[in-house]
Amino acid sequence: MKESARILVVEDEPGISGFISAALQASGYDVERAANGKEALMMIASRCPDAVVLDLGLPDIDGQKIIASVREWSSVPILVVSARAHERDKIAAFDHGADDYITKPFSTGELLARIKTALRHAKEREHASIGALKPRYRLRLLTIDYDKHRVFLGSEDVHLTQNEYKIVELLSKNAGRVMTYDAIMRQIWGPAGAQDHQVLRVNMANIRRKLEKNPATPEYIKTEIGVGYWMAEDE
Amino acid sequence: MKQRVKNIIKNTILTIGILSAATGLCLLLDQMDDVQHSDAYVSMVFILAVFLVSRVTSGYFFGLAASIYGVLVVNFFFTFPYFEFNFSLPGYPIAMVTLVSVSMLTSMLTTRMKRQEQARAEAAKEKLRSNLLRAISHDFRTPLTSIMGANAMLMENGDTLDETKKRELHQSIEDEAQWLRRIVENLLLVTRIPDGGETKLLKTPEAMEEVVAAAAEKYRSRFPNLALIVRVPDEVLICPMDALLIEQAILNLLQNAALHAKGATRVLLAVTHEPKYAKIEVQDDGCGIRQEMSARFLHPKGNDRIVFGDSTRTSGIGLSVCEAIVNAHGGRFHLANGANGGLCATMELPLEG
Repeated sequence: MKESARILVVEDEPGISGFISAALQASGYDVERAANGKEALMMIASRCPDAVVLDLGLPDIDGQKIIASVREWSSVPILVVSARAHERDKIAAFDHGADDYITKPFSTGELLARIKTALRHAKEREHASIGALKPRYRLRLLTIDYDKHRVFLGSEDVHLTQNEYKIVELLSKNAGRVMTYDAIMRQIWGPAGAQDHQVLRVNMANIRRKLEKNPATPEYIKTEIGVGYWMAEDE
Repeated sequence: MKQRVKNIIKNTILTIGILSAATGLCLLLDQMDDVQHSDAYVSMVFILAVFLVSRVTSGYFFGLAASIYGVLVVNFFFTFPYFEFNFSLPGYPIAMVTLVSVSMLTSMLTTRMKRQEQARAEAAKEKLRSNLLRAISHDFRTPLTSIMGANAMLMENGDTLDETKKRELHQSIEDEAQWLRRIVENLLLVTRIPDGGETKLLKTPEAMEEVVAAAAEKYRSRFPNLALIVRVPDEVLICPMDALLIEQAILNLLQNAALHAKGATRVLLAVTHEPKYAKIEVQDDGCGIRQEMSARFLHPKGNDRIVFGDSTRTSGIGLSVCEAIVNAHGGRFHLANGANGGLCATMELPLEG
């Protein structure tokens, strides 16, 4: 597959914008650049990029607002690149609909890998929207069969409670993407359930004891501390 | 300024409240009781009131005002002749001097006590700050010098350098930048540690295994060469914590092992369940530390160099930050050499409930 996807880099620091663009071009992407929020919104609307790399601290519009307003009319993958490391910024970005959040400083290798993932997700979503939903998730020993509502480790049938299964299904259908605690709680327990995260933590501990060899070095479901959970991508 | 006015209003209200309560109580008791005995408890009630005023307000002023008020009120309401001032009764001057001096002494003592408490908290806060600043200015200069030097070499002599030399210089820029990154990470987090003022540590109940796993994953991506073994108990241990701080504390200990434990072949990160505590141990099989140095790790002074085995290198701010983080959680932190000679760092965090 030839990588000629178009990436919009929204960043006001010329130094950082420059090296991100150079790294992307070196990997065969077409790069466009915007240095402020207004320009970014205009270019996303007019140029329809395949992915957006977005800095949160722009001079005119806060990056969080840009995510929210783009999400009203576009599902273009948005990768946040930010010096803000606080979990509340991450939670807000994910809840507004960002696909990924990378904290500065980062390595170019990391950024390229994440852009690749985001582009693949977008393609999968496109397939799904025309009715080609995947019937199962598979990674190493783990198989999740969505039709039969069952989970297997190798050939062994893993017994999950109803809520445990719902959590695993939700995370696996969004594999590779962080789901915030609140978002998971709302989906599983309804809008009233999103108060106390502890019930989710206990459920997760039980799931890990059933799925992972060592819950302290999980292969399948990872924790983004203070933010949420994400499932490793399937094969 | 606004804060000061607010403070004065608050103190005034408190003072008036306590004194009115005391006066009211005495008047009430006076109504019910035989008049002859009133003097004894009236003085006591006012001493108590002055004590309370001094304790809950700041500075000397309100305590002193309360004691003067007490003297006048006792004289006016509760000693013969009632409802007028009379300072010429036999024995009265001695009683009054006693009341004033007891009131004033209490007032001054409690004020001084409060000042001392405050000074102690300030000193602890300052100590962490100044340790950090000292470590930072040193730890920033060194890598910056290397980065600027290596980069200048590459820019000015790029044509004449051979490939090996160039690669070396690039590697050194990368290494030093990573070193800076670790310092900055810690710095950012330190702002989340409360300094005894209004800020409070934002604690939520978290599963220890998740925090340990997150720290382990970060460590592995940064230091793939020193093997890490992670052990957690079967039961889920929930501790109230600021998870990002605890993750950083664990990461600091792991990074210390990777950077400083000479001869280490592996690091063990183990969580165990102690009564009321979750115990987290980070143990390597490297060179360990000299026993007398462990205090200096945590409280470096001036130009202290921290000695790892036989090498010299500053520890950076990692360990002081670990200790501050654990203390802020009401836990315990200590360093010792393990049975195998390597360093064993232990953090104990209170469990929920």
